[in-house]
Amino acid sequence: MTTAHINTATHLGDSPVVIDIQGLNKWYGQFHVLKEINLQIRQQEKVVICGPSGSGKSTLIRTINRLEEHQEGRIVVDDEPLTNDVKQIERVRREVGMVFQQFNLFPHMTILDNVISGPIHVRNMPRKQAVDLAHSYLKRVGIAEQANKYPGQLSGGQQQRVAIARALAMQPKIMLFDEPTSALDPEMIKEVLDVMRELAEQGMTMICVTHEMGFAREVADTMVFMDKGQIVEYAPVKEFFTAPKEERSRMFLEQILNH
Amino acid sequence: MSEYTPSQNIPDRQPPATSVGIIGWVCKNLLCPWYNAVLTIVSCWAIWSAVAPFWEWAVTNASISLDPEVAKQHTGAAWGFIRDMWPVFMTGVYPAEERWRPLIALCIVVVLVSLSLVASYRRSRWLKILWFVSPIVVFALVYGGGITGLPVVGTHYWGGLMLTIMLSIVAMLAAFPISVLLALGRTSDMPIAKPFCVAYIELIRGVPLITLLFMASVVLPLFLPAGMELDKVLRALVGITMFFSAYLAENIRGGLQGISKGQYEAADALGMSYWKKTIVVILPQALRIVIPPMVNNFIGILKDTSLVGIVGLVDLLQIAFATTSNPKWFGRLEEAYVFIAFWYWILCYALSSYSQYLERKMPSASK
Amino acid sequence: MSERLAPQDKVPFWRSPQGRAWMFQLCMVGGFLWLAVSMYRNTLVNLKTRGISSGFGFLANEAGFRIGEVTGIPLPQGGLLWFLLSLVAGLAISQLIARQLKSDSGTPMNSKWLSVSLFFSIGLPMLTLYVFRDSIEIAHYTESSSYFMALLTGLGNTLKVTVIGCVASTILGLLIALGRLSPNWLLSNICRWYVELNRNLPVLLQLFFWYFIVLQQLPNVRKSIDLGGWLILNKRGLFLPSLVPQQGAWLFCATIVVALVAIWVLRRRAIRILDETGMPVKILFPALGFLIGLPALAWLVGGQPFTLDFPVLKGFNFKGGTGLTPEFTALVVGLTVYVSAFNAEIIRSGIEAVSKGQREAARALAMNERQVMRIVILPQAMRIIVPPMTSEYLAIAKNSSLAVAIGYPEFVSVGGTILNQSGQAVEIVGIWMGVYLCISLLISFGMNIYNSKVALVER
Repeated sequence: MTTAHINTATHLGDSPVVIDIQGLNKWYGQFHVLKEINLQIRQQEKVVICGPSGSGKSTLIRTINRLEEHQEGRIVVDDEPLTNDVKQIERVRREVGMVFQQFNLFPHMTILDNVISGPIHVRNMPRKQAVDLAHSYLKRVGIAEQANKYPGQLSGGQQQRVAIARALAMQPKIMLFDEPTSALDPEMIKEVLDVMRELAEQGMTMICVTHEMGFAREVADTMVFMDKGQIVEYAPVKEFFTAPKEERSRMFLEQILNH
Repeated sequence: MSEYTPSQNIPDRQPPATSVGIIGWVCKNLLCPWYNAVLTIVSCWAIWSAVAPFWEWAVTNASISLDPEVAKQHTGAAWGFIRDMWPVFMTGVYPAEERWRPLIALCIVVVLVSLSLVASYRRSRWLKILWFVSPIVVFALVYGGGITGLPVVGTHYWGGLMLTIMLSIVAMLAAFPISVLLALGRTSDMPIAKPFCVAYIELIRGVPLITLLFMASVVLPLFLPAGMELDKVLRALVGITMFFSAYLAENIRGGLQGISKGQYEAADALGMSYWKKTIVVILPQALRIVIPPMVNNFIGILKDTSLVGIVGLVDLLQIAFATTSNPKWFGRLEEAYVFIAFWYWILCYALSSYSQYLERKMPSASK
Repeated sequence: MSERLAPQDKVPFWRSPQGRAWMFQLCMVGGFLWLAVSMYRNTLVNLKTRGISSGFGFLANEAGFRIGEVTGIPLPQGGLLWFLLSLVAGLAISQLIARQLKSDSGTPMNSKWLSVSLFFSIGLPMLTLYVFRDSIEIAHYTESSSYFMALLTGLGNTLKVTVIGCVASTILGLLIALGRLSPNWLLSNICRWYVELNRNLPVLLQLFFWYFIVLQQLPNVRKSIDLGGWLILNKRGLFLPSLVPQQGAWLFCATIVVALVAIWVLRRRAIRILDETGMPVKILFPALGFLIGLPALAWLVGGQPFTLDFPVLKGFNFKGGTGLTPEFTALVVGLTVYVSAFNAEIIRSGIEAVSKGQREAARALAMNERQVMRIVILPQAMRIIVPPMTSEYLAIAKNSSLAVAIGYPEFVSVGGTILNQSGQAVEIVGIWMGVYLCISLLISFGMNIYNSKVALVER
């Protein structure tokens, strides 16, 4: 069953594999959510995971930083295997940033405090340095002047950009995006996607769960289509959009592009 | 074919045995990691040290004989005492030959309650009428006199569980209209009525129930015209009603504030007057939201009626003293308290489960 | 003037909503005035027939009854004025300094200025208090004291029970809540049933249970449970040794204060270093060193600061030491157990109310579980927990009045005795309500300040 995936993004050549998932199986109680997942992601690769809701996409990327435990299989992130060891999990999480659908900013902290919370408490960075860093990232996502406001005072799009800045401030090697635009009003989606696009251009390794197919076509190297807990199709982005091999991915694409 | 052969539908598999089933459950909830196992052992020890002596006292060494001499030979509980005094716990010193009257009253209430639990009957008009009539019937039955032709049993004969339940139900029924008015007053913008309602609610919520009971039993008679006497039970009832109307009003206010402005505007647009709007549109919605907190309020009343013992009524809690001072069963306080606690707990727990059930069933308030 | 008509001018006032509201309110006021006047008249008549004079003059009368547990009441004397004056002056000066510094540099004051203003706001009043030591006299109630003094003693006992009950029920409630949140199924169910058992039983029943059943199981005085004289437990209560200050006591206490200040300075230094270099500094051991070392030094220099006064069996009861009466014990234990069930629910639901996403976001930032709790969950949970917790604290204050049923002499119980003796029902009930109302208003005032400070900023 398990077929070694050849690397589809030719320009990545043989850059090192940073995420290696083999034979991953996960259950919620009796429900089999992830079935025999095999996935290698190389440095600087941009992977977009798509699929109908309930197909296990979010669960998959949440196992990568161990927000979800898995029962079978092996996940190695940046040469660090994910086990029950708390220290190991923390080491992995330090290198993996995550952006959530619901932003999950800390409402009791200012924007600035949100962004410096990781560097200060986890990376033991001097406060001054962390603040400088935070300001530079806030500038990058275009909300430098809001630093002293609270999350509740910002729009959804702005909050999501702060969330990206907060994840970036940890200077991660890999970024996970869990449907970052699904909770946003249409006019705010673009500002978030622009930030993500810029991030991709700078060579960040990214894994995105998203339904924004325009973004995927433009940015992704590799497309992963999931359904019912398994990877149905794994293909270079061009191939996926022009000639999907699987019936299911073809139907999904038709639905999502022609709605 | 391309190099990548897509996997066909992978069938669902059972999870590994270590994560589900009894083993998985035990491991996850009781044993792993090691400190969890320690907690389990400590918990087991705690349960054992609490339950074992009680079990020994209440079951192993207990006697159920009606004869106090037999009971004295057992080191454990003398449940014969409860068997012997059972009617006293239920009705206090209510005359023995008249005890069938509270019993029938109880039956009426039980039948009404169980009818109301059946959803299809709940909406019928007849049931509502019966509910309105029932307090009068119950009172006539228990008090007697008048047209019933039964001998009068004065309130100083009332006691036990009967008194506790009657006090709490009547206090709730009496507090309800007052609290609706208070809540409406507090949410209104009338310059005199609003501060008055706020002052009343805050004053009452700021003081202990016991001071209100003292007020009702010692100060209230001073306020009445000379020669006019209020019954002791009625005075306690005044205190409890005053106390709970304030708490109830705060709950109802919460419900009133939970109703969107659109409802008021829609009612205005239909040309309704203030009272029509309040009664037809606003209150039914507000009251439905606050049913669970109101049930919790009722639990509060039920528990706090135990304070009436301090101003000289013999409610369920005070019956413990009354029955154990009986030379036959002198000093059997433990049995009495366990029995009383059982009743309070069953009533309160059932009600609180009911309110939690209502809360879960209720669609979350849409804004 | 303009010709335009105001809309109200057209309708007769009884048809306009405002007019109706006013009419309704006037009727209400009229009704209440009538009720109040007739009640007042009735009361006058009733009091006359019973031969009771009204007014608060009776408070000065000699009480003549015994109070089982007497708390010292600090009574203000002449020097108190100076103390208050220096307090106000000190606070004003430190405020001025703070404001001056802020307007000068725009930055908050540094530690040098902070200690100066601390001296003014705390040190100066303390110094005055020391100089005018006689400004407060601790008075103890005796049978020949006045009713007023008796009420004060009762209030002191109420506050004592309330404070101890609040602290104990919070700690117990926190433990129960943590137990309920624990992944251990057995433990979480024990805690769940503890909560269900306690909150569904009347508090008075629980007080009776502790007082008449648990405490009666204790042995009598001759057969006391005795832990080497340190802790003696019997039907008469719980006896502990008490501390008697000796010559070196002043020095000893002063070094403890110095040690606390030193720890505070250490902590500030650690925070500064953390901010500047990002390196967390462990201060636990140096702090413990100060806290133990300095007083130990004082002990060596100034001799033993305290001697212990052990309770000794004399006649029918223990003398000396500190005794906790069974009434007090039952009241505190009963209230603590009852309220801890509610507190546990409040704490648990507060922690659970912080959304799962917050926890996940903090974990995704690689925070460890302690940091997740300290930095993200607790600050948010506190906003949810504190308001209902204060009303539970208030409930302790109010429920402590149930002491009247087991005979602990707190405020309501003492008032009840006075009521029986003097028959001044209206006044006593008025005093009760007034005092409790003041306590509640004070607490809710503090609550509102807290709420406005921590309220989440929304759009």
